[in-house]
Amino acid sequence: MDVFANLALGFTTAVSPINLLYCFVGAIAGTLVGVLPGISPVNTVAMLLPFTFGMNPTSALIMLAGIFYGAQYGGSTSAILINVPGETSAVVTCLDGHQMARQGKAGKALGIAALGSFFAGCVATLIIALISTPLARLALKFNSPEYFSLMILGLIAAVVLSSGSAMKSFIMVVLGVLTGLVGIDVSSGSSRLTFGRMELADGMDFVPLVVGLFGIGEVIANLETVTDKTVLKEKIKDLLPSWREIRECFPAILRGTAIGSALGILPGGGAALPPFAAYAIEKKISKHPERFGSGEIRGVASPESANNAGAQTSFIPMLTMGIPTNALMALMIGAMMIHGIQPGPMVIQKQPELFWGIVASMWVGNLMLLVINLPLIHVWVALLKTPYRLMFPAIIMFCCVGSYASINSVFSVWLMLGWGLAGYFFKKVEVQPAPMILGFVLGPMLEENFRRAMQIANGNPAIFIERPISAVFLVAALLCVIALLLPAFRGKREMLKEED
Amino acid sequence: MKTRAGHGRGNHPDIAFGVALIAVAAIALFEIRALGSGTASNMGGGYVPRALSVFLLLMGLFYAIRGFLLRPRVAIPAVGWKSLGLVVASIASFALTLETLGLFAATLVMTVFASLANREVRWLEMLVFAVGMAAFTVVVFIVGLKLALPVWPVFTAN
Repeated sequence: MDVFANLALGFTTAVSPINLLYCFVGAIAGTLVGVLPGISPVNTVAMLLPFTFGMNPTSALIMLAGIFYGAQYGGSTSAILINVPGETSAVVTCLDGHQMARQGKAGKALGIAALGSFFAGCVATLIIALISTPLARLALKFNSPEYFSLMILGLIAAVVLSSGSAMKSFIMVVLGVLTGLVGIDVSSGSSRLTFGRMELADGMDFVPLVVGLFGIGEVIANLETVTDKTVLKEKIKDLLPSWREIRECFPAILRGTAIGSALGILPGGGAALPPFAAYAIEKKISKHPERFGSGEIRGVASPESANNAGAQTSFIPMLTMGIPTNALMALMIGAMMIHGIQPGPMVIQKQPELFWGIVASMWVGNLMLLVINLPLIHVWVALLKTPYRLMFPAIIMFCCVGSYASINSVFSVWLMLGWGLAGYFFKKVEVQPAPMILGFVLGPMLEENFRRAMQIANGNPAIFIERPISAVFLVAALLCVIALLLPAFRGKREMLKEED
Repeated sequence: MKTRAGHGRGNHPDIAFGVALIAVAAIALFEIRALGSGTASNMGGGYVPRALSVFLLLMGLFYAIRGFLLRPRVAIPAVGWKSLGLVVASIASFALTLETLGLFAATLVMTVFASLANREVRWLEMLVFAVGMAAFTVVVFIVGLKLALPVWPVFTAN
């Protein structure tokens, strides 16, 4: 299999003027929401999703992917400058990054974060290109029982690695699966959980669900707590770290990239976990661990590389097997289905230009981010001054118009309001809504594969452990659950939760 | 967290979560009451949703009951009724006016309601901002993205 021929095809797709434009738009939009605390890439992708309906699927997915990794770049900017992580993945960057800023080295922190992210992005793109084809070929051998077990593994791992109570996260997954079953049942033709509404016959509309849960729920909760924040006063200078500093940081960037890439691929992976792991390891192996927390440049370089690498490699299970490992990948799957693409191992064969175009666009997007981010830093700083009182009506507007546009019906706006209230409720009772989206997207596939597998096996559930690949997945899922019960792991998880 | 903890029993967030689960499960079970479950080898449309609903029901009962027994007492953070009500009003007003008054007016009304939800209201800024937002939505969504939405009140269009 010729990786380079594939990448060449990808680059031809990615650098076509229209895709280049959408990649740019996505990366900029991502940086923007990354910089602004209180808007996550998840709700941005959800809000912008309906507006991609008119685009061709490749451009749409290139743009949506750009939002995700763009947000990783942007998140570090506000973490370093105002000590507020724009994204959860930038929480660790606050520790040393903001200290550097207070010592007048904000420019260097931003510079090394951008360089580290770029390096990590390049490596992650290559990793995706290298392992996608074999993974997809392996996945083609899967049948219903294997798919069912794989999805179970993905969901369990996501639950175990998420912050907060694992049991509640699991309940949210189940709630999501149930919501995913709304609509006409394909096998029996009967409508389920539609309450007689025609608008629900095709299933619960994805856009109002997500923008309601994440966008509106967050706005209502934020209005109770957010006060307009104070902005930094110091000038930013010396954006480029010196050669000596880059040389010093390079091993840290390399380690961060490796950790991020590995954790990103795992089910439940993504951009949130890798920076914590990378920071902890960096501190452990450093000769001067006492410097961490008071402006150590490696403490910025390593986690920043890790979150960008993780953000990108988390596309692998999504692109090759159709399994989302975090809420954002669930959104990407939703976006594919809206554009009429059935996610799964066939995508890479049937639509090579789409698949490789997305992969190559990630590299292109990373390059753009490096080039635009450093010179544009003053623009982002100015944007940080946008008061929340002007931001949230705009968020509500995007959510409303997006929901309407999704199926051209006011019903969706009401639906969104309902989910918004649900999202607010979940915030109040301290339950994470993200696992629900995973369950929602996987719901119909889970049910279908479960039913088909049980049909093959004549109603005997032993089929899931009799087939070797399926058994391996289930054992791995079981190990995840056992790990959750171990006191050592529990302690680490609690720690993460507190730092969150 | 600590400030919300008090003497006595009762974890209110858990109780609320449990009760909500029970409600969702009950509604779901009622809605699918007519659907057959079928057999394990040939499942009907009701099999999986019913199983999931029963699971949610049991979990709801677990959290609700355990919530009553847990110590110490934990309250749900206070609800900001004013901002909650105004955000609901702003979305509802958009939904109610969009198809009759058009996108421009609906956005205007929506923005005004939303802006009122803020702690301090700056009237002039709010009005300018609302008009700007309305113009922005029309330009971006109608001119730019060509969405099929009524822009102006319906009676002027005819």
